[in-house]
Amino acid sequence: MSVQHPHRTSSLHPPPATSSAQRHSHRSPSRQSSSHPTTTSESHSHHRSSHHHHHSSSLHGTEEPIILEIGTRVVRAGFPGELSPRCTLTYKPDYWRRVGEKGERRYMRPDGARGKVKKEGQLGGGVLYKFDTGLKSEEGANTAVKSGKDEDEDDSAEVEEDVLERVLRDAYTRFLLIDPRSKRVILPVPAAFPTKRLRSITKVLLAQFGAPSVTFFPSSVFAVAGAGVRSGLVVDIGWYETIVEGVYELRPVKGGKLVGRSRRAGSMLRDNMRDLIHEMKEYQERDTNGKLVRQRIDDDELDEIVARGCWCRTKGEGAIDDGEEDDLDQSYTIPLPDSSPKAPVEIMFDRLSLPVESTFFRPLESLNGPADVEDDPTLPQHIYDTLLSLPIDVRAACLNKIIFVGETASVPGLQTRVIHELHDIIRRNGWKKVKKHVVKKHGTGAGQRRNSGRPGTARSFNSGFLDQARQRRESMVVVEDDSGGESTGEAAKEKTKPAGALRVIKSFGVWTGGSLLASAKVQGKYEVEREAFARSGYELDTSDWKNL
Amino acid sequence: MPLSPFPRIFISCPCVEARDTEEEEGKTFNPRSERATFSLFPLDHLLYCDDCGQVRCPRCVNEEIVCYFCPSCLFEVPTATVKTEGNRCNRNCFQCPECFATLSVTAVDPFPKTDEKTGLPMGPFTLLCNYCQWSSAKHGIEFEKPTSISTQLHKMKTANSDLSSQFAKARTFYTQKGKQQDELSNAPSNLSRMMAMYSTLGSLGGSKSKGSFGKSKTEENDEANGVIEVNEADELEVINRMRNANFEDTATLEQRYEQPHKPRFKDDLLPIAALLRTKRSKRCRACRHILVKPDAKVSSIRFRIKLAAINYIPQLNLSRLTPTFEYLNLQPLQNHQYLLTVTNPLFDPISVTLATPNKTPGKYGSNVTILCPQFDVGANTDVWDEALQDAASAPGAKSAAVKKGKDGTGTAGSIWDSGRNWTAVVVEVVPPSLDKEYWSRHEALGYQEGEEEEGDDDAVVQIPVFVRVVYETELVREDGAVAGDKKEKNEHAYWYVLSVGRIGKTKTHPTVAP
Repeated sequence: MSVQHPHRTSSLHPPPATSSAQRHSHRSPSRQSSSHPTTTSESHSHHRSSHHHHHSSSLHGTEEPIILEIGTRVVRAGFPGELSPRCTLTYKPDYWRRVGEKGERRYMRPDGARGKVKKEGQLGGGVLYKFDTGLKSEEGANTAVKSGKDEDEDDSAEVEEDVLERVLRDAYTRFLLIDPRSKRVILPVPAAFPTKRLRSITKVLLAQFGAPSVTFFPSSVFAVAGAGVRSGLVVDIGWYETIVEGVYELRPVKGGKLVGRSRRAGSMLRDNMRDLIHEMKEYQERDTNGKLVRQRIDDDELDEIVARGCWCRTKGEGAIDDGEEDDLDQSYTIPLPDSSPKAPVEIMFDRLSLPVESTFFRPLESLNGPADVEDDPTLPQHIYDTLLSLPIDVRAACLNKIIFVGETASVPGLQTRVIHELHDIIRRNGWKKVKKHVVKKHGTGAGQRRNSGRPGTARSFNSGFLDQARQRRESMVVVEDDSGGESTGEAAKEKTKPAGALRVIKSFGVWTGGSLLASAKVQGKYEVEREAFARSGYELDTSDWKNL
Repeated sequence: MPLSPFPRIFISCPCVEARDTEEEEGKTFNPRSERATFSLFPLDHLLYCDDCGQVRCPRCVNEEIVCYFCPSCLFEVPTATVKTEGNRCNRNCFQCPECFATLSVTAVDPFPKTDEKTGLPMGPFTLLCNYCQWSSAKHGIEFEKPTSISTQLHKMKTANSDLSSQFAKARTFYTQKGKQQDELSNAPSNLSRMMAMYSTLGSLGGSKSKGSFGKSKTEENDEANGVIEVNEADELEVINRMRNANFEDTATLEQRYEQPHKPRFKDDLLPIAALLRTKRSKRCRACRHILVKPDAKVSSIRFRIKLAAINYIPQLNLSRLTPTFEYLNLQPLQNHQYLLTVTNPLFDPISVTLATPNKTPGKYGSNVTILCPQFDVGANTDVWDEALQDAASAPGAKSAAVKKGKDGTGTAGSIWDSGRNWTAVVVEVVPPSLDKEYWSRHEALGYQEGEEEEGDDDAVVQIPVFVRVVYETELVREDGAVAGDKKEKNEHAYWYVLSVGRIGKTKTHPTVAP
């Protein structure tokens, strides 16, 4: 997918990508598949060759593909031109069980009570990618977004393949009702997706199911398509990380920095919800000896609570004091399913907005995490940073087309709230790109946070492995200022302008966007065919995938 | 008496080893390895390819669809229309959106008027769940006729319709765009066009370019493309509705995933058309040999071909020799005797060799001894043979051949008992005692004492047993005739896994018989 912006070659913006090779060396080896700005000539020739490549192998080109969205928490599969996928499958614990051992093992306890007891995070815990489960509530704060490289090289990659195979077999034989060998597969791939994992998925599809080919598309492009536009800023709130990415004319735009990733995402929201419930006195019970014990809540019960009860204030903390909401506060009872010994959770409805607050809008130090953890920017700040890093024309095209996708993004009120705060940030700061970075560069620790008096404006990357890359980027930003010379004037103009152009538009989501594009016979560039894949010994050649 | 989940017996399909070439030959199978879960199957889940002479698990077969049918009305759906109907029944079969039970079409009025001519009840009708009493009429969906519900539902304006029309708009937008030019793949021309634009704009200066750039490239007519803005009022309305509703009024995740419009509230759930099922034939992945071929008729449960592994591979059964111990409470450091019965499904006698590591793999290894690891099992001859033989011989004659121990505990080197096509041997298991660490963790996870943990419970004794079977069959020539006295030697060798029970805490008063 060409991301290339011709202005990189124009004199207006000297290419900030001069150090792309250096930057590459600082990235984790298994995350090779993204964000390498290339020169226009390179991508030009590349396009031609891959185009040719496609035509030489258009044996299956005319036949309708299937669209497969393989997420961390769900798999969606279906046919192009359809509104919704034929199936949405979750990674149920059954997929981790032996055949013939299926179903909860329920039998009578000595005390006669029937109970379902689960280890937290056991049996996959509803997520496909196991190494990421390091991001659990207690130890989660310091593990941050890990790179694809595991510390202990164990079976986990193979287990992932095994589980994925079971899920896909379900999709093919129960819902799609097709022969997997007959259909090409279109696969949306999120930005900075680990190559190792992509290889696993490709291997399952091509080697195990015998699909003719797999075509990769950036999922942000599908998200934009799902909104009925061609450009926009995609905020993908996933399970382990939130990715903010600009898309221009159906091409993902890699700005002057690495793809904007933050671990303020679904799993953190769930952890915060768990903390909220555990804090409550009512949710503690006395055992037979009168000792106070805290009840355990299953992850899937928490998932339900987050999906059904979670909401977000549309106005920030300053605005709540209007008093309009106070009298509306009322008690809300959450029965815990399948858990007879557990009491229902009685909670004030207003409190159910707190987990979202702490996940997306507050500095992370306010959580239980250790204080020395570097902070992730809040979601509005994260979006603002990404907008800042985008080429100015792309930014203009994105401002009124902000698109939220991902399961967690559907929390009611969240999108409005983000826009309100983003509006404030833009009004305060305009588009001053340089100053902030230069100041920050010399700051350390808590001093890095801007002295704006508001929570949630601290910014920087949390992941250690990105640090050096970031510093390099910052120094590049300075260079840009020197030569561009227009930023300050621009910022002043922006500041006086009302930021009214901000607008969130609804997207059908990544899968449906893919369905739309595939039905329009849009052809992908990155295609792996079965025979070629087998010849290469089931390895992906990602050398020319500069912009996926 | 609680229902015991033990013993459980699985076979490891060798297809996994074939895939991982690094796997060492002759290595002991570890049932506790994470990957083992995906290669272990109960015998009755396995097929057998007689060309390859190998068991075939669901992972090593290719499937082909024979026919499509609705499981509710058993109506066969022609292949041509399956996809357009969304793989769902296009008639009257619906599932309850709340509890997923089958809905039935009933008149809304409990005592409906009947049509004078036909004598049939008159409408309006509703889809009613007989299990949870969900009724479509309660949610404003009523039907005039009791037939072709699907068509009637399709014509109604439901929560889904708005989405569909928005989707249709977006689809038209992209299809038209796609026709104009192949945007994504035909980038060079696109690129040069953009460059041309930039070079002119560049000379005009950055600030001017910004305003015009976004629009000049694409005229995005929001209305026509189905672009919908997220506005605060809508979100506040949802929050207020949540505030005023109960938690139970919101749809569960499972319910949402089944609905295309992902409703937040139960009121917005729509009945789900029944998902079609298929009859499938299965082929061996390696040699394309057909292993399973069902009868094409929907109502028939016959199979034209069915090569089940249970007819080729010896079956293992496990039972307690003395029913004095509990499967869920194996006593540490005590000897537990099991009876392992090997049943031969073949028409030729087999000789069996069992091999097992002395200590089971895992954190808490149990000592395992198979008292007689080598023995023969008779052929699976006519059932009556045994009865006739028994009748002919004296009742005591058979027991003489079997060398049971004096005290009924079995002796090393000899089988326990045997019959027409089965032989039983004694297996002794001495589990270790679990340390404090295990029990405190077990309790901390919220389990009761005798309760098995989800996933890989260290306390469960899993014995990997390598079963090697050698037998001779008469060579069958191409023309089907038996080739005289020429015999062919065959061999099966598989890893079985026996889950024999769960280690408990030492009882203060031992109940195991001395």
